Amino acid sequence: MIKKKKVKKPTIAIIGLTSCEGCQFVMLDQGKKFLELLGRFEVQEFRLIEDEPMLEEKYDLCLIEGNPVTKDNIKLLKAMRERSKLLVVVGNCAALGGVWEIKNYQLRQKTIKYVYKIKMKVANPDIKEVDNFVHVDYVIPGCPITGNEFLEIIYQLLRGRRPRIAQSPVCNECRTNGYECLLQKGEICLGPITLGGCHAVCLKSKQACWGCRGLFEGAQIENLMSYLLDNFTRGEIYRVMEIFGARDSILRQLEKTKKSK
Amino acid sequence: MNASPDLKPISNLLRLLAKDYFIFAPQKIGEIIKVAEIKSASDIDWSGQMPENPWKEIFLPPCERIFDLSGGIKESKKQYPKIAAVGMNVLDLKALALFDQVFGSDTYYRRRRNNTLIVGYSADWPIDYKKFKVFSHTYEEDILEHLSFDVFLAKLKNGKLKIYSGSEKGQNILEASGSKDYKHIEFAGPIQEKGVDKRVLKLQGVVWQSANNKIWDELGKICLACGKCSIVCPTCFCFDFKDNSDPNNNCRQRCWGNCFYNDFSLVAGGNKELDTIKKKIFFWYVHKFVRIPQEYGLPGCVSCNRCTHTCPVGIDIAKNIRRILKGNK
Repeated sequence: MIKKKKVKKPTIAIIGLTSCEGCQFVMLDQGKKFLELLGRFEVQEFRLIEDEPMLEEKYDLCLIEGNPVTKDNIKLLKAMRERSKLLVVVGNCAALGGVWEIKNYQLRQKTIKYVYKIKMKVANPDIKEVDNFVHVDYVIPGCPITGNEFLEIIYQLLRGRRPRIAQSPVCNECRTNGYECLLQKGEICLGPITLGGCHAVCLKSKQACWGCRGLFEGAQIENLMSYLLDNFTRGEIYRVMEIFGARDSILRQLEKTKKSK
Repeated sequence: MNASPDLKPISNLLRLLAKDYFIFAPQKIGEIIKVAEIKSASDIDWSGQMPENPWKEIFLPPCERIFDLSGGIKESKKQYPKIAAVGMNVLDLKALALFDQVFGSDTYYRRRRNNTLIVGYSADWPIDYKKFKVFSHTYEEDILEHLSFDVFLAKLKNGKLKIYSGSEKGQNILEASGSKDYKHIEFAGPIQEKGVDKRVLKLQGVVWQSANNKIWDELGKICLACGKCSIVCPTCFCFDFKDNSDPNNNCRQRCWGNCFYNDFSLVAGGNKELDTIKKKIFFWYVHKFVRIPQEYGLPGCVSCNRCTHTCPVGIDIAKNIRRILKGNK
């Protein structure tokens, strides 16, 4: 009998930094499909469901969810980068800063007084995306991530493909599914500049797009801004962009396209 | 004027269709008329107004499994549903005629198309369609002969229905429903005997020479590149292939493509031909008014005006064409 050489499974670590852990629950929500996926890996770290996390030497794939807000977060993130071949950020917090980035656009000292009525010693740092600290290989966007898109990307990585999310706006799925256009209705909707792939779930419930998945390649920010500015103030538009921390990346891209013209 | 026609002569037909087919028809949902599957014949909207979405997803779904990749390549085992498309107007039938030309030898399209029964409908013909003079329209007899349908219902001004059959399938179902008073129209191919419509040919030349027209710069400054116009366009048929690695969904899919997105013209190495919005929108018009007429002898735009209604920034195709016709300045 020929002995089959046992192929070593790739190792995976799933790490949550400061976040609501919603994206990890999206993974768990995939149920059997998620267990099947994990069956192809050696799961060495999954802090959400583990009692005693212990750092291993090397990982093949590391999924980072959440934002490195605290000093411990940053330390853990850097350690994971050093030990991992591939580092993939999962969800809006890691990719764009998350809802906590709102305070970057406000007076931080005022905000902390509003939140903590009693004087307390609370670290109050600027919120920065994961790619400010370490090199990021791939991004799985969204708040939360989309289950089937997550599975598809991880399977592509497993097969040695280079995953790429189709670069189309939220409007693509919104219109295809026949949802009402909120931009036409007179609301601020960031659908035309936001990366699709979320099945336009918000628009299904008549909730305008707030750009949680970030920009896509080819977004016409300048044209959307000049269209929105006819009916809204700059402040109103920025407030919508700030909710999921997309404002800084949108304005950066806008500057870039203006310069290249 | 938009009152429902006298449906008595076709009540048997509708009953027969409901038994054998999934019926798709325009229906009023809130204030909007949409093409969707209907539960009962009374849901059908007979006003003759243009539905918001096109019929194309019946014949070319937004995403379709082409073949399975789990355990080698094998064709997706798929049942093609029997669908009756009831109430397609003349403009949508023109778009269907173009699809028949483009996908004539495509097995997936043919299987779907063969399982579909087309019931055309026109309300108060031809008053409604006269207002789009910039596009190509002539009168009914000329048009019906060049559309492929199984049954066609024309609502006359007195509210009575005139019934036509356009195929054997249509004749059979009309006979089975006990309808005697119908006229058969023999399909004479999508292009008229006297050749390609003169107005189509004129537009072809004018749009092609408009590359330096100021209009494209102006449109490039307002278009959001959301691509909704292409999604609702009944003649937009470009598609992309998508390969899935997820074993739960391990297949190759054919999905609608959209030339307003960068992926459309992206080639290996990262180069893309359509890299600005000005180029993209010009490309869209050229495909509609120049390349489709060149390749198929049919207009690439059936003047349904869906793109105008769906555009968030109000780009009006009829207005733009009128402007281009006026002069390439």
